[in-house]
Amino acid sequence: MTTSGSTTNPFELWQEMLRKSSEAWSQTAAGFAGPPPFGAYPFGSFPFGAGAGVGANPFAPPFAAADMQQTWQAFFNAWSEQTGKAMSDAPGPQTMQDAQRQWTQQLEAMAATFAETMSTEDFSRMLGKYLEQTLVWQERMAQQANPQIDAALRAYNLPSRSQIDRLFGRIIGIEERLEDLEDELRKVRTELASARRTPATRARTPRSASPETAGENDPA
Amino acid sequence: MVSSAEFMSQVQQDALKSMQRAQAMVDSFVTNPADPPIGVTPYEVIWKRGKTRLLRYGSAETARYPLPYLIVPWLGISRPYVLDLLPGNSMIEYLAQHGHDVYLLDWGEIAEEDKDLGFEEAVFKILPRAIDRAMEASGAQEITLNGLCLGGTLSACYLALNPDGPVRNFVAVVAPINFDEGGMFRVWLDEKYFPADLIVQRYGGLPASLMGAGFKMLRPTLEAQALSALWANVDRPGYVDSFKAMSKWANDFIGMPGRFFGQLSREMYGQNRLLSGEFTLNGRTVDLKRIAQPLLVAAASQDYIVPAPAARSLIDAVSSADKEFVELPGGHISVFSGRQAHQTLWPKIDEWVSARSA
Repeated sequence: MTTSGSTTNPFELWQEMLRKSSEAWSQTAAGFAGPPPFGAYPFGSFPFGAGAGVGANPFAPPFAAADMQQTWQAFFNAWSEQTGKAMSDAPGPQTMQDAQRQWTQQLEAMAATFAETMSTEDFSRMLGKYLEQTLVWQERMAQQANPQIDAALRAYNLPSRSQIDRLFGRIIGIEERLEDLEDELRKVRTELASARRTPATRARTPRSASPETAGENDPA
Repeated sequence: MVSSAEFMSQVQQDALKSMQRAQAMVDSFVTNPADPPIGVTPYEVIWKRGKTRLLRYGSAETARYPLPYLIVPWLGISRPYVLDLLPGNSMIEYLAQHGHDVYLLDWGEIAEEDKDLGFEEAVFKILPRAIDRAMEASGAQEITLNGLCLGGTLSACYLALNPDGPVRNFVAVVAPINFDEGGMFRVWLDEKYFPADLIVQRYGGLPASLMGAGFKMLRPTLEAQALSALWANVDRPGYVDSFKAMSKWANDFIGMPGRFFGQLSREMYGQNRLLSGEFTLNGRTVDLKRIAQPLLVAAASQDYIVPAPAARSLIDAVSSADKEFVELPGGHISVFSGRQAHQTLWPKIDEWVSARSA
């Protein structure tokens, strides 16, 4: 394998490889325009090629592509710097134990630089926008697909997702009412048992019951 | 500088060691790929409410202390069996063997139908009932409450709203209280950018897949580090079983209910309302100053999910006269389920609670 430059140090070769792959990744990322809106391209007319959809796509990322490139470039620079420092402190890969130690140091350096990069506001913004785009796109997909799915389920006499959701909601409600009734019954039983034992003393209600809890047990 | 003979000797030793490790890896993951039995401490389900269960480990006969010890773990995120991971490596087993009558509140597998479960239901409906059932089963008048992670936050809310309740002692382990110190989650869940409402609207909560992605993103190199450590320790007795059990648990995520996630991201991580005294539930302000029980707060020094300062703030926020803070070695999970926990956190809890359980 040939690489640019005259270096033979494996670490420098590794760095060079990372640099090139990060550049390639950033270039690809710069052309990424987010998922297209459902139905934006009629069948067979999707414009292929990096960045082909940019401009025409209303779902294009609201953050500048350069931000993403800068964020990741900063990450790789920081990682290379920290790893280089870890490598220069290490005794050299003379034995497998040393190699393992160096690998652990590299992982720790990588973790530190990941943490540094991902705790920035830029990363938070990028993450938020990516999630938002994906969710909006999924929602549109669902809105278009759900009526057809519901119709298909109806044709087979099967309940739809929303019907099952409603059913679960009702079951949970019934379960809650039963629980309230059970609580009331327990209280009455405790009071009865206590009254039988010591007629003059009033039974203690559960001490953990907050005013809200006590109130919610009353029939609506 | 080593001589060439020494160097060759070292290389031979390393090669032999590597072959032994490779053989151990094949034995452990190819020949015997089965997971070890997890969560084997016997228990009895003493109460159920929907998916929520209250489990009792041990019995009144085996308990030396009169106070039941109720563990309230996090709501959603992952399963609580990490508290009873393997025989000999289980917080529940340890406490039960040391004479505590241990109960665990298992929130169950959260899904879309639980979207309305929030702080209110947990604090006003589930916790009081679980406490009553545990006291009833033990025949006790009081209880020790142990909140873990977000279970500690929920328990703190319960105690602040029920200062005269039957809780004698409160143990909060890696429980976030000061969300301004909430680490990377604090940055990622920034209200300005994070579409919490859209997620809840789309999925009814935070789905397990997103939960898993979020936690793995916190420490992207964690799995590589774990595998690297496995290679170095594969021939240590018990290491592979612990690795398998922990790997199984660490990839077994569950979702978080929509209402709870909304409150957590907006009011806790977004505005830090619990610590500032502005958090309200059903119209009542959750004032942490009303907590006066003896309090033990434990944090982990390498915790990047709930950094130690986020947990420590509870100490200053309460009015308890008897309170103690300990920062122990370990991460968010390993502090209570790692191999070192039986020398650090578990004996600390046992000693602290025993002294206050007479």
